[in-house]
Amino acid sequence: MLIRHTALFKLVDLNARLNNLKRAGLLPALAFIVFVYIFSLPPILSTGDGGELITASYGLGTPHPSGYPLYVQLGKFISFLPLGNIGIRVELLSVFFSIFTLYLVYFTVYKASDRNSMGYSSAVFSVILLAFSYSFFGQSIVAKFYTQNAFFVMLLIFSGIHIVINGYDRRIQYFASLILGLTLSGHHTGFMMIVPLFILYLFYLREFLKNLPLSILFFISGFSVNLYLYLRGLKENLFSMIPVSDWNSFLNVFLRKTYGTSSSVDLPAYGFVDFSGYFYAFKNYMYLIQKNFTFFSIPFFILGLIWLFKKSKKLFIFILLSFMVYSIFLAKLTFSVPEPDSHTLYVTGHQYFIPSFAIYCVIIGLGIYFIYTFFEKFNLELLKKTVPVLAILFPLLMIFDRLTDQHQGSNYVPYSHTKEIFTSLPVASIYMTYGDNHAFQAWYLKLVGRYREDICHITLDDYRTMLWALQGCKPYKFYRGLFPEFFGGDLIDLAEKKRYYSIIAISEKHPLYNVVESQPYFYSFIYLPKVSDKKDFMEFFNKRMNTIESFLNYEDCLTHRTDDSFTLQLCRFSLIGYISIAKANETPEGKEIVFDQAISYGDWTAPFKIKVKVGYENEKYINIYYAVKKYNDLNKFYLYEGKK
Amino acid sequence: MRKIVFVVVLVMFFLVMRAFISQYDLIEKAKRVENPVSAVKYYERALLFYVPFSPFNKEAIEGILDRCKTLKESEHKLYCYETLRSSLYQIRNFYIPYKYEIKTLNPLIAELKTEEMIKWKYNSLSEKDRQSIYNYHMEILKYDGSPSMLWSLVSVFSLCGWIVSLIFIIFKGLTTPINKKNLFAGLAGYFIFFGLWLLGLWMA
Repeated sequence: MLIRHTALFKLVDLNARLNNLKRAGLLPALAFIVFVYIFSLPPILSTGDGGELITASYGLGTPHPSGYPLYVQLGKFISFLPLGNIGIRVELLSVFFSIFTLYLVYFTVYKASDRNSMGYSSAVFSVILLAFSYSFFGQSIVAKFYTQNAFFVMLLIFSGIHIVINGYDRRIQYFASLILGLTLSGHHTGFMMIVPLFILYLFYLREFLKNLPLSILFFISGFSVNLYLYLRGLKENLFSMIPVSDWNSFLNVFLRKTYGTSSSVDLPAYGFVDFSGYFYAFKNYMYLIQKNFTFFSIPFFILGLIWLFKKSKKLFIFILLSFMVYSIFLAKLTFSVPEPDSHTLYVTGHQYFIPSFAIYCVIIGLGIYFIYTFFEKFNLELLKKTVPVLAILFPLLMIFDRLTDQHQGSNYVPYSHTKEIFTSLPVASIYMTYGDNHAFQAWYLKLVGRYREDICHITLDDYRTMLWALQGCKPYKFYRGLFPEFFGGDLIDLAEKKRYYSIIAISEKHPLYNVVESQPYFYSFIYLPKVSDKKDFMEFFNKRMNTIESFLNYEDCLTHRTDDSFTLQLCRFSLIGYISIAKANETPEGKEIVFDQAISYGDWTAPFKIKVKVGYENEKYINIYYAVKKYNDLNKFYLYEGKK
Repeated sequence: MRKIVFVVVLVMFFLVMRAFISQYDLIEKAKRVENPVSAVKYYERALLFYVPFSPFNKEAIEGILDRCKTLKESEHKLYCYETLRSSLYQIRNFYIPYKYEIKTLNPLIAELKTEEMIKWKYNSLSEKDRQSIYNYHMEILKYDGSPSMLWSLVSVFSLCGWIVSLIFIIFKGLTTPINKKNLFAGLAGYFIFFGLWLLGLWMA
């Protein structure tokens, strides 16, 4: 009897050890994901909002609406880390939230399965699939708030699942209320979880209503993070995109009213009009699914839904509703154009749907688990042992794609491009930017990096106006002395002194068109009075190009290894630099080449035409021009590939 | 909690690893290139991968300063000094590593900028403007618009503090039956941290 008991204990112990061994797979998987993410982080800053968010975090300021107070404060927190530079530290936030999101994906799948070793393998499969999918990977390595948003959404989903599986618990309701409040201090799409949660709590209506007053209190507590906007807006600080000083300006920033019909109040209404738009929303969303997970994932998704339905109707309704809200409904609001262009795919398709991809992977994981249950049922031992291993290895193959399209470990472009523009300018110049991509990086370099503080960086909000934002030229009292012409309103005088530069080539739409002309100058344009002497300018131009030629850096635009759309655009913008240097080094006997193209600024384009005589002296710059142009082909952007 | 610590340790470990490898690699590249402007660029990048106590930090700073001396054009010298100063600001955390270098660099930079502005023939500036221009540049270089280190730390730690206090109240205080001790402790923590958070944001 004793011997039989001992054998039984040994068997149980062995089984537990085997289970532990299988469970040990999650930690190496997470460690590997962290390793890949860390080595893929842009070394200084990422493009797009990256520069702005890093600057706002460092300066405890306010970035673009809705102000993202939680992200900014956490960014400040992590910027104290004595390692690397401020840019890469803030980027780490995305890695942390990404890993925590993956952890929640794991727990959700595991909890919604039968919590055995097969459920475990399915959960690890979901984690790896999501981690190396195109957009999730891309958002995990840049200074942006989308993984923070996904984390909150997954936390709310997990809270709902906990209620369904373990029964109603008022503490979970309070916790969900707190998190819902916090979502309003980040990307507002996180708050859309209120719909599936409300539907779920209808199943527990009595308890829900009983605990509603305290839940509202916790919600308000979470929401109070937004007090940050008001408090920091009252003070003069390093950086504020739109300062908040009273109730109206608070609503303006918090509700994103500056975006007109895309404001947080007006946008949701768009989901209930023009129902034909749902067709495009569905089509476009399916395109994203195909690009991120391939269509092979869809059968597993359907099996996952069947498993959920079998397991619990409440669970099925809750998860399906959450998925629909973050996929088709959100696509209707933001992504229902008939043919999304490269910009829409990058700004919307690549960013907004991260929570839906996390839910998609949860359901796929359950689909895989459903298949395992068949193996179990029909006693297919061999398949039971081999499929989990294959299931984990299969999504790992995607890493090879990610290392060639999303890896930004050697992407210095956003930093070096801006730095070289600053370096090329004479002391005490005005540098005018238009559009986020150039402005945000300049703010980083000027306000965080404190590089070339003699330059007054101004940002143009609208190409047709002369309304500037002066975040890169503060405090005014110091700059007034260096720029009496600018602060006195005499821009022509500044242009005559050859200290007025911009990334914008002037077209007839520009208010200065009648009095000022633009000429290519390194990576930017110089503004000159229309009556200026051409010969004098050419003399100036040749001399300047020779002085700053050594700052020309084409290596970064030929080695960044990413398909990041904004990086490609910056590199294409730098093409004028190679032509400028070639022009300054031309010889009379060279063969004339005309570079006639247009530079796009949102809705319209500005002409760019320059003739260069190409000979032995300057041929190498033209070769660089073509090499950079080819390497930075905009169609390289993975989400756009299929559209071409 | 153990899992969060595990993730944090892992992230730190890999970041230190990446930073250290990158520093080594970039310094080797800087040593190999002959063009001083390119060498400065590599040293700058090595410094931007700052690792406390790494011997490469100092090597990068010395490398930049050595190259600055070899540059002839004043605009190139300006680039060189500005690059070092900017790198040091970009690696600042709760202290500025090698802060003394910035103090030495500021007058050099202001002088170069003043010289450039006077030399710029389109400016119509003369020697009599030298001192006032120098002063403007020095004022800008000395001015630090970043928020107070101490109050920033107070505010961000307090933010984490009051959020954690609320979670503590929910899970440890509002049990069935209510755990009064935990509830009061959580509430006390919440009010203290919330107050400190507001104060920190205002003072920073």
